[in-house]
Amino acid sequence: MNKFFTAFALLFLAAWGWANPCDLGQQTPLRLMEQELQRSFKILKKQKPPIYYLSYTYTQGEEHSLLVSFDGVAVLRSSPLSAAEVLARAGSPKLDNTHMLRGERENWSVAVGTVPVADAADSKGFLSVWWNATQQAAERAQRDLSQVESNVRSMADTRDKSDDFVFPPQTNYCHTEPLQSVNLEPFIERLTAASRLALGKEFVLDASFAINVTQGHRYFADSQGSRLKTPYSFFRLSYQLSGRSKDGLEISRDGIYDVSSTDQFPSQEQLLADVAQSLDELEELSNAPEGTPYNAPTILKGRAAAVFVHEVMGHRLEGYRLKSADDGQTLVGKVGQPVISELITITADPTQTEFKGEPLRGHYEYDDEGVQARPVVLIENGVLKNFLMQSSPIEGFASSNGHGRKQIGFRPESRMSVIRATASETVPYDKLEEMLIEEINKQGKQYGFIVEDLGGGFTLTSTGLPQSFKLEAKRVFKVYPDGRKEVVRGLDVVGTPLVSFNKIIAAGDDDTLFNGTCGASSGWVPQSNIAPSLLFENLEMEKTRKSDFKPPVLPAPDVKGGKK
Amino acid sequence: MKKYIGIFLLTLAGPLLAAPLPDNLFFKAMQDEMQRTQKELRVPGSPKPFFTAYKMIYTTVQSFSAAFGVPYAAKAEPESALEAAAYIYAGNAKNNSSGFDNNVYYYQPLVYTSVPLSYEAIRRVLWRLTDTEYIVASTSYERKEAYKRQKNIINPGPDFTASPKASYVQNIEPMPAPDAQASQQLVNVLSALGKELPFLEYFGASIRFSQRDTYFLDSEGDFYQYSVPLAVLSLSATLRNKDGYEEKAQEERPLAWGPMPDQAELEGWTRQFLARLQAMHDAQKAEPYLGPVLLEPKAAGGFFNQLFIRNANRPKPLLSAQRETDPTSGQFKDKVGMRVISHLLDVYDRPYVREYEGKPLQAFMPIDDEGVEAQELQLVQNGKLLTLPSARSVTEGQSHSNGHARMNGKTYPRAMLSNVFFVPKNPMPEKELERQLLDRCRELGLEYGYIFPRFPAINGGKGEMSFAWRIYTADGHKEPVYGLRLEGVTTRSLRDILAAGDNEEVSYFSDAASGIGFSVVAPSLLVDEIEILPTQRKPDRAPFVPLP
Repeated sequence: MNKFFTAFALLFLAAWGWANPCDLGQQTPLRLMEQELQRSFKILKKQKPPIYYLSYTYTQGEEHSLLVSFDGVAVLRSSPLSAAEVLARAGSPKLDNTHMLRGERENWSVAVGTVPVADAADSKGFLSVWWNATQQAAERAQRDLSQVESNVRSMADTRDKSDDFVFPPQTNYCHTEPLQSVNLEPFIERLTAASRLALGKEFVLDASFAINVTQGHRYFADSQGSRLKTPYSFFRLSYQLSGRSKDGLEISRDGIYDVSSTDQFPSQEQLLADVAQSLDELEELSNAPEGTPYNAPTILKGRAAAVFVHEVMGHRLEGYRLKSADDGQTLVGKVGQPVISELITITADPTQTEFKGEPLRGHYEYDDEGVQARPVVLIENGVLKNFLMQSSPIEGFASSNGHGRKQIGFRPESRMSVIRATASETVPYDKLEEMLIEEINKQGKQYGFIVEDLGGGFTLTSTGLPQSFKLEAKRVFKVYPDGRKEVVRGLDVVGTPLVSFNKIIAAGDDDTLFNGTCGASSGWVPQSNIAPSLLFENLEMEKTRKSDFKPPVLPAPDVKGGKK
Repeated sequence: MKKYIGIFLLTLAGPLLAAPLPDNLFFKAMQDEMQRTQKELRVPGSPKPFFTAYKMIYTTVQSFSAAFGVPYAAKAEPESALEAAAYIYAGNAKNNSSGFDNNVYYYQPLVYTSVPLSYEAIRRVLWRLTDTEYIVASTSYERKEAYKRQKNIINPGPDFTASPKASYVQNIEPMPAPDAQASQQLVNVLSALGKELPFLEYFGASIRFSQRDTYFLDSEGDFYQYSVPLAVLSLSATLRNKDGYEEKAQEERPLAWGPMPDQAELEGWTRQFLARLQAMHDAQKAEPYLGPVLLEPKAAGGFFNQLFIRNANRPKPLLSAQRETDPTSGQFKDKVGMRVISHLLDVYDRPYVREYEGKPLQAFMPIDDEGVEAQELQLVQNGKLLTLPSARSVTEGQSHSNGHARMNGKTYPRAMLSNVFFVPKNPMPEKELERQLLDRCRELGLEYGYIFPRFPAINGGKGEMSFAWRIYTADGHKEPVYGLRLEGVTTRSLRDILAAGDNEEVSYFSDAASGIGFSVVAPSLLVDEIEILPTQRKPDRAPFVPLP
């Protein structure tokens, strides 16, 4: 009996918010928001055109930053965050103000205000901000709807005739976490010590070391009756080292540590060792020969593979894009069909909280439309199964799967959460390198590539441009048929998504996490990517863009021969 | 004669002997990088750096705010940030890169914000700034010379005049932490008064404490360091008037540093603002009017800022290969010796003055941004324009800088005013001004005249203003008016001043082109003729939902 009771209790807790359930009725901000939302919605739904859906989001928290460079503190700041956002939908779920326009610029913003402290005894200051934001949001929604209606009447039909909105299920959920006490002053010495390693190095142009902590709670209420309170927290230590070669090529190395509390940041010894390693790599890059364009067998190693999956395939799995007539719609009509190598399965699972002990920035309990997060299989053994969905249906996918996400001030869109690529067969990484060399020899190539780090770049998804990608290979080795490796610089990985993903012939057993922050038209959202190293039959490399500027005329003042 | 020589020598020697270079990390880094730059920075085939200057500003800020009596979450500690800028003139004294807008970088220096506070980091930032500015200066020099050849421009004098060495050192202490509890309590109390007017959509109060510490060094050895503390209390409100127009209003009050002002007095000041908001709510729409207007001191400050200061600034136009004229250059450049303003006022610029009647002045500047001692200028006497601000790149007829070169992140140094005093010759009490306004209205057969509490921004002679008072000739009663559109406001209006009050007040303004701040000390004014038309704005729809 006890066993059953325990199991039941655990299940109940899991469903209710594992760690710290709370009482929605006791949440003053939520009670005030609900009061104003109900009062407004009662009137707004009777307007012509009606506001048929209204949601309030209140983000209350704090942000702490420490930025250090060359032995000095540039920023040490702790700021409160208190943002009220109102999203209004005018018209009907069939056609509303958020409808994707053809040939015109979209309006992605929502009404935002900064609110004073929520005080039940003296609520005018708090409520007047919501009232004002609601008025702005409703006016904007009505104005946008008239633009939408005119656009629909005058422009060519769109392929996808799905409704603009499906009501999210009504949900009540309350989870609170006490905010951690954050004091970044003790970390000043740790970061300045690391920053001193960059002094005196002639190949270093810039070096920055940062800690960023954001934590707080997000309150959500909508006209469907959903009431949510969920916590969020991100603790990150990062550094970036950069330089510029004589021919104007920008080079860089970086380090990122995502943790759950400040006491988990890397120790001084570990940080110094990692920074020293990155400096060695930067120096190696600064002296490396420039690569030349070539198509050859390539391994994208751990982190590079994770970035690749995100940029090249992940964005094409975001359902909302498929509604746009201007989108390349690479995967439209391919559900149930093989689209990539059958070796690969891609999932999205925002319910995952950590990977190998590292917190996942893409984790959340409810998305920004109040829909519960859930795992989704997107591509299974190469076959397309699903898309990342928000509360805006697309053909064949009628409801949200909890991926409506946004930055403060933006309207939610279907975005990635925790994206994971897995392989049905894996080999140890050393074996993968052996297979690379075999492939180079088999194809009679002069050399192949191992890309250890992929950085920024772009992936084009608009019909007006080729459906291609170009990603900066920040650290890449040429691998010769005899196994010899040579670092080269100045190369980008280029290609098209369907071709390149079908060239995957093997995968490692070294699943690696890359936590990032992804920018798209609903703003910047924290996000995680996990992938094993991937061996491609071939990938194309081309030259990267160089800066127009030479390195500075004089050496840095701290470099030998620089200081006078 | 000996006396004059003595004064001249003292003028030269005074600043030289005034202070040694301060011993702090800012000057150590600036001096070390400056020496390296002057000695070693060369690109073969390009002109060498002729004049280099570094300016660093360390700003500390802390704010407290509240709406309708409820506080906004405040930062626990004051926040500080260091920014650094550099500029270089390449070439020589006769011909150099200054004053040429090559339209690639615009006429503005590169600025580094959030500079780390260490010797090594500041050196690195100055190194990067110097390198970039040298490339800009070299390019500008070549382009300027080519442009001058193309346009057959021959310099009548040097591009950069000589100046005696100057220095100013004020001991700088960190900004004292404001009394957080008292400050928050004050804005809570003041903003709560907004609840008395139920039609207010927003009513907030905030208090902002700041301290700006400035450090400057140039390659001729001029330097300064000083600090400008400022505390400003602000009220802001949003309302919809009875005809449905949305109106916003703001009131600022500079505070002296030190103990918090008397709360009862500040509540009184807030209630005056609330009375204005009530009047804005009840106001009637403006009708066409052409006649005299009484400007209250803040309105007079705005009037002078728009019509006088804007036209006295930047008298030397930039050369540019991209355009024939410089739209930022003031109109008064050709009017020295002419009557530009009513004979009832004299005008002075006093860059070294820190406060006026206990109110801080925001443009304190003992030495300008080209290392020249800032001089008091009498700009106007008996209505006649005597002189204009100048920098080391002088205009025709000037022989040297009067120490008014000012720079920030949006402009390299250009001649600009600082703390401008409009001094009435026959000041009279405000009641007497009102009486004169009514007399003049009667003379012109007008039913009423106008009193402006504020003056709008003027563009092309036009400006929109949300509130003013009508005063009736019959009995002197006042009625609030909204939606005023001013037409035909030009520098001519400066000569239409009939009388000035004895109630000078300090107002703060920023230059529209560069954001550089000024202070204006001005009294009430009676201006003979201003044309007012009703606004063409359309009223806003009533809110869907009544106020909470």
